[in-house]
Amino acid sequence: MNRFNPLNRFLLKLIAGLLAISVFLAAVRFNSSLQSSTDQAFGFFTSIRVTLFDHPIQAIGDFISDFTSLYALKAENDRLRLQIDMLEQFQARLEEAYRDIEDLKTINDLKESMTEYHLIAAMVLNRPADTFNHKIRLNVGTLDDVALNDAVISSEGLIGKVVTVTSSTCDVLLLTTEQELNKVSVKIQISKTDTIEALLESYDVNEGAYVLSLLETSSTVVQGMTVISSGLGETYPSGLLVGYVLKVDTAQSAGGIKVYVSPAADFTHLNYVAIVKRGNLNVD
Amino acid sequence: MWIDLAFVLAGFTLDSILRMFFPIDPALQFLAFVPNLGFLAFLLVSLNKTYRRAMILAFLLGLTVDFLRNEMLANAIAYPISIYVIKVWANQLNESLFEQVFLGTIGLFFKEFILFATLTLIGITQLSIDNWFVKREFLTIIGHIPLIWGLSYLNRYKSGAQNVLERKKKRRERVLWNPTVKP
Repeated sequence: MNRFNPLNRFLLKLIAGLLAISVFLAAVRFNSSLQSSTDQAFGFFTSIRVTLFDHPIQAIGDFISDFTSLYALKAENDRLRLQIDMLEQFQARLEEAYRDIEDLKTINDLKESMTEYHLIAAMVLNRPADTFNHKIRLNVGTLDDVALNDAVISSEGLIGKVVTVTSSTCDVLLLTTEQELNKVSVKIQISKTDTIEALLESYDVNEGAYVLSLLETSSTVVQGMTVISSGLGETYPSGLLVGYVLKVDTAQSAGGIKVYVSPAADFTHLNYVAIVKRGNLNVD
Repeated sequence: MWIDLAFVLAGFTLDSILRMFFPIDPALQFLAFVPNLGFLAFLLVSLNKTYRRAMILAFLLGLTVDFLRNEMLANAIAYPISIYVIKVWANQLNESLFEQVFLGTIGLFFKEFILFATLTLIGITQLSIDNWFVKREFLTIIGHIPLIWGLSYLNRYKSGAQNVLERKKKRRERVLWNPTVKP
């Protein structure tokens, strides 16, 4: 007598078929045209889900958030008015700094500097569905001039880099991943004119901070110092805010002194981000 | 069976809606609430199924979740094991609402623990077990208790509707089989 009834046999065949398809898809993953077709199909269903669920719910959530924050608006308005008054001065200084950079580039015969970049605005389609998932999907792709390994920032700081890209979407691996492949060359601002180089190796999920290894130990790093990207390594332009020093592990190890840096970006509320393209000066 | 499938899909849809209101922090700097209504809906549905069918369906569901989330067969391992354990415990309990909520809470904790253990063994995460419990599990378990309550109520209505449909179907079959009885 057969131990499996027809439904169980059907389910087992279905499982076997799905596993075979998974192996087949993994084998043909290197075929870029087939992969882009499957990504486009997946992107179609993602677009439907975003249109039917995510956008309306986001709109309701934003309305409720705006309504409940009405009382705090006046204090914020006063603070922002002060900042706006200062903005014109900062704008004038910034334009003067841009002119100095152009002059220096001409003198040194440079085509571009490490701080030059322009931004491509993007919207997050898929947020992490789990705390072990460190990828988000954006609504821009190769048609928007997005390329592999482009840096991605939020309004608060650097969040990750592009790891896969199709014609209309791209996947971003967040810096919160525990993989040690996501290294970033950074520098710690000791003072207004001095920095020290370091390497962001990974994210320590137990500490809730990035782990940096210092490339030099001649300077003292203290809590609160700003950490920015250094522009070395050709992946991230210079000047992107990474975070602030949380603590320094002075115990000497094979990897040198370890510095823990709290992220500047808020990874919980990632709705609109920007892709950083190294290139012409952003004068707008 | 299609009603059960719709019930489970509704659970996963509610998960994606809840994630909009309670976004998950991949940095784990704050307490995380990870919606699992899809798994809990499946757990309630599987209580009325045989062991073999429940585990096969659980493996299929876990595989689908892994495919969508790219989590390397972790859910495909966690789902069947936790469903099997809960079904064994369910045999010792009655079907009252409190006991279903208790089973759902324990099942959720068990599934999450197996998922965490699998990902730790594979090397995907280095989160310590105390941080896992404090930052991820605590709020997830607490937040799901009222949700399991509501899901259990819905499951009872669903089961009642299924029983009514089943009785109507059987009545029709008896009428068709015995042509001397007028419908």
